[in-house]
Amino acid sequence: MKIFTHLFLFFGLSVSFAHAQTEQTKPSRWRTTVQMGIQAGRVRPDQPTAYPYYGDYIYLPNYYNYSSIRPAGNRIGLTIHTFIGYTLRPQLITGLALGVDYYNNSAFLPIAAAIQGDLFGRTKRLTPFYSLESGYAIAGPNPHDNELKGGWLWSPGLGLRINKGNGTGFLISAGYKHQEARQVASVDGVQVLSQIENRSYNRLFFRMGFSF
Amino acid sequence: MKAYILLLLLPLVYLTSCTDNCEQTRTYRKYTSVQLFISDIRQPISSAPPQSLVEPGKLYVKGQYLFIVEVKKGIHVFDNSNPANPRAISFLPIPGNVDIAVRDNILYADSYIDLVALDISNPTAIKEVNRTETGFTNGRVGRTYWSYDKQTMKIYDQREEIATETVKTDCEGTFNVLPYLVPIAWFGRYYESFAFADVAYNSVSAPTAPTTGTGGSMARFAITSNQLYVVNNSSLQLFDITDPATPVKGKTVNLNWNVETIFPYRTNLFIGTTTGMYIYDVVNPAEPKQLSAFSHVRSCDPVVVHENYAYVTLRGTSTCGVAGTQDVLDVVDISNLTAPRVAKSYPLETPYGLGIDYPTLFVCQGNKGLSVFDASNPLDLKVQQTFANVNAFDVIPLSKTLLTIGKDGLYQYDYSNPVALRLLSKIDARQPN
Repeated sequence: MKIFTHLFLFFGLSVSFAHAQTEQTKPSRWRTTVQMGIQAGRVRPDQPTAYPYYGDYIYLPNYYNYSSIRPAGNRIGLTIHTFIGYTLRPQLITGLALGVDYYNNSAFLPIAAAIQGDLFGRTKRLTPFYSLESGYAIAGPNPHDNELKGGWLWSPGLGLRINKGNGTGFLISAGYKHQEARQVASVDGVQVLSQIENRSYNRLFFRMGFSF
Repeated sequence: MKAYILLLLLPLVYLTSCTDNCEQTRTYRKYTSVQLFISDIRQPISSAPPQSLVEPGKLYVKGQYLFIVEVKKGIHVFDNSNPANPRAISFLPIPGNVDIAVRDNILYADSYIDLVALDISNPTAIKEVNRTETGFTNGRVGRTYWSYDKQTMKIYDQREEIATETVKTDCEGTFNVLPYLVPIAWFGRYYESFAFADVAYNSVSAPTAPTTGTGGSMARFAITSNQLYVVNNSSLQLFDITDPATPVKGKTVNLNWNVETIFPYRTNLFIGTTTGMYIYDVVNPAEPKQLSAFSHVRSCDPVVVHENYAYVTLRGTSTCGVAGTQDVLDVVDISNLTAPRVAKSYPLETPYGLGIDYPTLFVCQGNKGLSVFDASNPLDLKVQQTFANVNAFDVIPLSKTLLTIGKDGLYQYDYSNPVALRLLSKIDARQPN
């Protein structure tokens, strides 16, 4: 199975590179990057002291009164990231970043203002670059439906572009992402009067993709 | 080249802060268990200085005096000879008190398992004259439940309070609804274990019976002729009060449904339950005879009666009833007491207690206020006035003065003109939360 994936990726890449190479090599002021990867972080365990505690379960004042204690753990989620920017100078490309990020069991769709730029003004085969973005993510598919609202995000990152020499390139990047969100849970209004969860996700991301 | 690798590793510095920070703030009703020795509860009761209302319960009017129950704490006594300016006289500390009724100069009040008779001939110095056991060893007050244990001679009660707690969570939420499992569950955890059980489970809590009064629709005490009728959850207890100062325990009638209210009208008792209404014949007051049981969907429902029509409010939402039940005001034709039937249903938001002074019908709507209807034709009720800014649970229409009680206190209105009620006075309740 894995081999097919690799073959598919290989041919896919070759085709797109071949296509890019046949184009007229006039450097465009516009740069688009498409990247995909993972973002990793940790969650805290449930606090059994917060509510009455019975064995491995805590008693919650809601509909499903008992809930098992959830341990701390690592969480890895998918991230798809696109950037469309205008090159003011090679060191400063301003634009918009869009994508899909998965945190635990909830997806978010970030819309952020972003800047990218080449570091050290070096435009050789290997060009390191930085990226910085800040914006808002709207809640995507998640278990809480409309109860979950997105929030502010910011994300710094560093990457390496392997230039093809015609304005296209292969990218790898890594960085940090902070995403806020808020869940206003629906409550029965009798036993539970309100329940609000303010979330802030902190993740490391590792992505790879293309630039053209 | 080394420099790049270092740069790539730079984000790893953040690794220490890659843990999610989530805080859940939850406001909920917290129940703390309380144990009381019966000997402490049975201390003789006497008047204390007036106190401010905190959690007003039932309402009772006797002559110029006004009695407002402070739920499970006691009774506020007011001199209401001038409804525009009610004057606080005293406070009677009675633990576990919920219901009251007055015959002549004797006030009957429940105190957990006891029925206390108090002499109110001098309202400034009320004193206990008698105490008998009701025979009820458990009961529900609002959302709390109490029971008596004979072995330990203790009352086990609950204290309800609204608590707000903030806890750190794992950012994955707790679910009040079925979780969303596919297709993203792979990236997180499954929430199968508890959420699937009891999908339709609604937090079952006690029917609230907050207020009452003379002709109050939410009373659990009723007096006709020489009998005091006391209802608890599942039975009707009679007390002979031929001599008011010494109530004598009489017959017990078992009722199957969750009894909430009792309303005496002429020679009948109308008992409101969560699943319907019982009609009892009390031609012989000591021997109530069931005439009929009128059932409907499960909901909260006080009853008032005028002539051939009973007015029943059904509140499907919140503490009693099944979610999704409609909130309605039913007009029940009781011209044939053995076969009552619904003559007409009016949709009405969150109806609580109600009162009738023909041809005017008053219906409390909790937080939604109070509605005044023209009931000259019960089959065609017309709204005359609504008050949205009051909190009303029960009403007593009494010789052109309307007393309504709710969470925020007691309002008195002059309803000589039923189209334009005039606020006479208000006794404020100090909200605990």
